[in-house]
Amino acid sequence: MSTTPIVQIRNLHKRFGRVHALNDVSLDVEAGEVVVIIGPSGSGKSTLLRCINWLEVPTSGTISIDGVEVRGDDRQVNQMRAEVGMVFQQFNLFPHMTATENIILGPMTVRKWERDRAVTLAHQLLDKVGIPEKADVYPEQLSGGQQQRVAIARSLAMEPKIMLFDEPTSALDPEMIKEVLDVMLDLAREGMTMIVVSHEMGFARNAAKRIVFMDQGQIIEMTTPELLYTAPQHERTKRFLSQILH
Amino acid sequence: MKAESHTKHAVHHHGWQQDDSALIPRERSLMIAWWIAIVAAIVFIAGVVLFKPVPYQEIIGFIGDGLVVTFQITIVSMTFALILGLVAGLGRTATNSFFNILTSLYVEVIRGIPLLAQLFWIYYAMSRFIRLGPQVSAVLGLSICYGAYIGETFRAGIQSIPKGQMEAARALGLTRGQAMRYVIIPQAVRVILPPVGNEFIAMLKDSSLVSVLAISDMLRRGREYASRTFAYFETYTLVALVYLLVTLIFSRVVYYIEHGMSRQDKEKPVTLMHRLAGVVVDLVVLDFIGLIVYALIQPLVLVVAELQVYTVLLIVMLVVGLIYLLFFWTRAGRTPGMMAVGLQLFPEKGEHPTLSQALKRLLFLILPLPGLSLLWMLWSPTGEALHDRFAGTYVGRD
Repeated sequence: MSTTPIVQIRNLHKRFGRVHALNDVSLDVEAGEVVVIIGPSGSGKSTLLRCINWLEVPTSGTISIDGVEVRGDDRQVNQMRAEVGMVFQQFNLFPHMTATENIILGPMTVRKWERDRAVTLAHQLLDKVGIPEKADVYPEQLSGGQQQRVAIARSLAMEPKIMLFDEPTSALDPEMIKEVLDVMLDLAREGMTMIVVSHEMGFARNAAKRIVFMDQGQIIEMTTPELLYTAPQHERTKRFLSQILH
Repeated sequence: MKAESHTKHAVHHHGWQQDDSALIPRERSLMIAWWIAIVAAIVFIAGVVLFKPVPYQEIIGFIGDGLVVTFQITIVSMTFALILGLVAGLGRTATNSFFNILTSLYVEVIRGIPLLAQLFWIYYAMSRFIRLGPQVSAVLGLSICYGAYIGETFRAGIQSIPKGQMEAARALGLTRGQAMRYVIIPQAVRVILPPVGNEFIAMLKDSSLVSVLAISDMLRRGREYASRTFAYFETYTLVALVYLLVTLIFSRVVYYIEHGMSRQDKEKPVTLMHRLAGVVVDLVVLDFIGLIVYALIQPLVLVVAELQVYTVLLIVMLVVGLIYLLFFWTRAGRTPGMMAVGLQLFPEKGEHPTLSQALKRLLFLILPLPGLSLLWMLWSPTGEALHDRFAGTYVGRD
């Protein structure tokens, strides 16, 4: 276990007008760790994730990635984003590009790679996420699960140190959830640092060392998945779990 | 179930790919109306010219060069309007508030003043400070006015792209400029192209307003003829019909652009009309490019004056056309016109055309070039009246 956490969040606040979306959040994530965040809608879990790679600018508090504090100037933020992959609920694939073109855009424009090198990597990544035959297919011809796997490959193409997943399976039909979770589990086993907003209990139990319960912009409880699901400490956690577990 | 939910997603994500024509019966009636209108217009024009050559044949000859001027003014103005529109559109979506306010002010002010009033102001009112020729004033007025409208079209197109696209691009580490260039604008173009085509048609019609600046466009030529011969009914009927005919043709091209965008990569029959629409788009784009190239080499043409100007122009146009085709074939496998109407030269991506296929395509596209491109080549910035070159049809002389 490394000494300094790869992600270090201290006293983070985020306000949208009068809404206090994040209220004094502090969180450390070690390299190679998988952290799952759960919580009711509007609890600030997506906002927290989006603050980490500066898609939302925090109102106050600090975020350090790999020991470097993010200050918010364009150049530094772009550099940091290249190291932090993000997977969205709505996939957000570029519809005018094929799967391969989606994947090589980042390496070619940000890392200035040669096309051939980027394409080779893209094919490897498509192989890894299990859809090598879809290399030259446009997103609209892919199923939701396949689209999300291409989106994961697109993020991995930047060879990030950290991967953020913002409800990656929430927009999927039930039968496609497993194929995406399998890819995520593989990543976790390879030692990728992952912060995952998801209510998939199976994934949390299999991959996560820690699980965080958030409500009203605050971290209420942080423990192992096993303990949280079986013996939640706080009243709000119990109420929330009783709603999602039926 | 799987397929159905997948389609739902596709529609949700790419609104521009919706194809719900079955729900809109209006589509079919429009199609029928278009055929009725164009056939009637052609039959009427051909009929009167054939069976009542006096005065119709003369009128056609007379307003013919006015039509050329109308095209010239439209194409030149459209070029500048597109540039202005792009600046305005980017400014209106920019985060830089100075640039944003500046372009918003431009759009807001210009959209609030009628085009005719703008033309008068530029030509007459501004002469207190700087005297501009009628043609420069006309182009300036049309470009500035339409730049504002096209800017709003660009803004709407850029903003129609879901926010997630920008976020996904930025999350990869792309700068805002790179995200615009590689992700947002290529998608926005598909949304923007049909309304810009409509602006082109609108400008073609509105260019008749420049006749108040003593420019011999089609309407003015008609007025000149009618005031001499008192054949008001015959002249204005023909003028109206020629405008209608041209507009109908272009509106069909825009229709194919609209539908071509949604039929990319889908298996649907490609009709002759698709191909023709693609050719028209290519010709218009080529004229935009040719205009700039010609403006750049014009001084050179004057130097080698021994050569016939038209010969030089023809050679230039052919070279520009060839470069244009080869450039897009090698890079994208198809020309902008084919992209616009959703034509794929070859079904498989990455497959290169054989020599005979390429030649066939080349001939097909390049044959009509010289004819149309002469339209803007005759443009004379010095204000030399075009009809002097057609002395035979110039009634005012005798």
